[in-house]
Amino acid sequence: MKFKRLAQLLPPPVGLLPLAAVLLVWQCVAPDESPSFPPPSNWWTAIRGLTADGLLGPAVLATLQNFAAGLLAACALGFTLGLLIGVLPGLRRWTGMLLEYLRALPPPVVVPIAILMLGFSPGMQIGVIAYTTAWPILLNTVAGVAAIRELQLDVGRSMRMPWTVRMIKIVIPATLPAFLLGVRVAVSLAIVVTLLVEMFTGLPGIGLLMVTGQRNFNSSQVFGLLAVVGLLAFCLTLAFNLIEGLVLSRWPPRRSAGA
Amino acid sequence: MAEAVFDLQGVELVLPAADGPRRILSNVGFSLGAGEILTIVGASGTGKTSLLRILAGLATPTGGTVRFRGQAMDGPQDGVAIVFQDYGNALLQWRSVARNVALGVERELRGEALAARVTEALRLVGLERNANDYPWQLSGGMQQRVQIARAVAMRPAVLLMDEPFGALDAMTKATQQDELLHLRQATGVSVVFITHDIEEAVYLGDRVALLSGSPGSITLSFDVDLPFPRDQVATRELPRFVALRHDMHAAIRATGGHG
Repeated sequence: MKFKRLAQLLPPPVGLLPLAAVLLVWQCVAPDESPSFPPPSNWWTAIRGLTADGLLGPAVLATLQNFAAGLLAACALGFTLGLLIGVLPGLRRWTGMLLEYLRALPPPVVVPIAILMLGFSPGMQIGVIAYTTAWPILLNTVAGVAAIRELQLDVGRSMRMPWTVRMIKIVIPATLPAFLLGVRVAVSLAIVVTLLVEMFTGLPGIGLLMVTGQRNFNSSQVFGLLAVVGLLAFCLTLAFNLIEGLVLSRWPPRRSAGA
Repeated sequence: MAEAVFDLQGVELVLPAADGPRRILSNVGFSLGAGEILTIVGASGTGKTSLLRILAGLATPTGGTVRFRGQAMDGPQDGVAIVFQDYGNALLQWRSVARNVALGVERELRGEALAARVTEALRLVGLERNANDYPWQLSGGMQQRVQIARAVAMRPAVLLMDEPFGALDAMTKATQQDELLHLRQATGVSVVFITHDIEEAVYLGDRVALLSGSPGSITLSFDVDLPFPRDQVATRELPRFVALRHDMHAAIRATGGHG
């Protein structure tokens, strides 16, 4: 039963066939010493080499830690601020333009400023991830609160609930699906920004290993790491789908399948 | 004589609209006796829902006085439960049927006392087997019964109902009407029942009031001298029922409906 549910989250396994075919052709066609397109077997050797040197494990761990810490901070920040802005119409009016402007800033441009402010520290890294990924969460939360019908709040008022109880029993649960929609966007954004910051700043992680490989013209290592990152991102998205599915099992199913 | 539950005199409601302030209700006055069912009939646009929101304490009239048990109203009152027309939004879709029914009483009752109250209310509307379902899994008629159970669980002295059966099919509607009459007989609850259906108003009411015009005001009010218990077939065939229905239609035509 549980396994079936998990299997439903995955695209049909037949979809792996084109990928396998491309890799196979690549393996057969690419010259063994190709500097730009090394055959997949060489990626494997390169990754094995990194593992043997004890470099890959800690790098993956560092990247995952930064990703998780940044995303968690973004969730806390985005949800709290989103609720606040959502329930206070005055605040929504006064911050609307500012939020749209700040959100439109591309994530990479805040990295130099963050380095100036916080230095080359893990705190800076997590700060940048949190700052850039909080936006989709915040804006979705605001939209979620705005979508709550007056009637839903009237139900609470008519039962003479104090506003704190109305927040906990009505506003927060009603906003949860929109919040999770924001987190879904934030997950993929957080992976991008985590690697980006590692590449930019040379702080430890998979991003640094990739840049190092590129600087040493070790294309096999870069391709190998690309595959690792792909797998990692795939697993993280899958894990998120699982969590979201569990949390939202009590909510009405979403109308649009693509949401 | 027993004190009136609700007493309204010269109630006026002016709401801001896009094209300036709009007068919704004008000089509305009536009183509701204990244990009485007052049905208010009106076409759309006569301010029926606004009037109910005033009784619920969710809207403040801009003129006149509203007294609840002799006291001037200042917001939602204890002992008043509301059944809204829009059950889809009035129910918290993420709560099971049982927890929706518990919503109004879960702050005062705990554990077994709460469970017993919920079961009792669900049994009354015939949904005790759906306690663990979610509203979005139920039909419209069942959802509306959940809302009625939620109101009943609060053991209200007054039930305010805003076109509660408007969205139901004819069969379910008839059953629900009889359930409401049973409920009043069993608990002695006072009811303000708003509808646009003249037959329903005459069938259910001890007294019928006609809300008409724009701004809306009560243009006709009379006692329904039909015997209890009422019967869907026999009562509706009584000459007196037909005569009352005729009078109502004539009165509505005379006032030009909602024009």
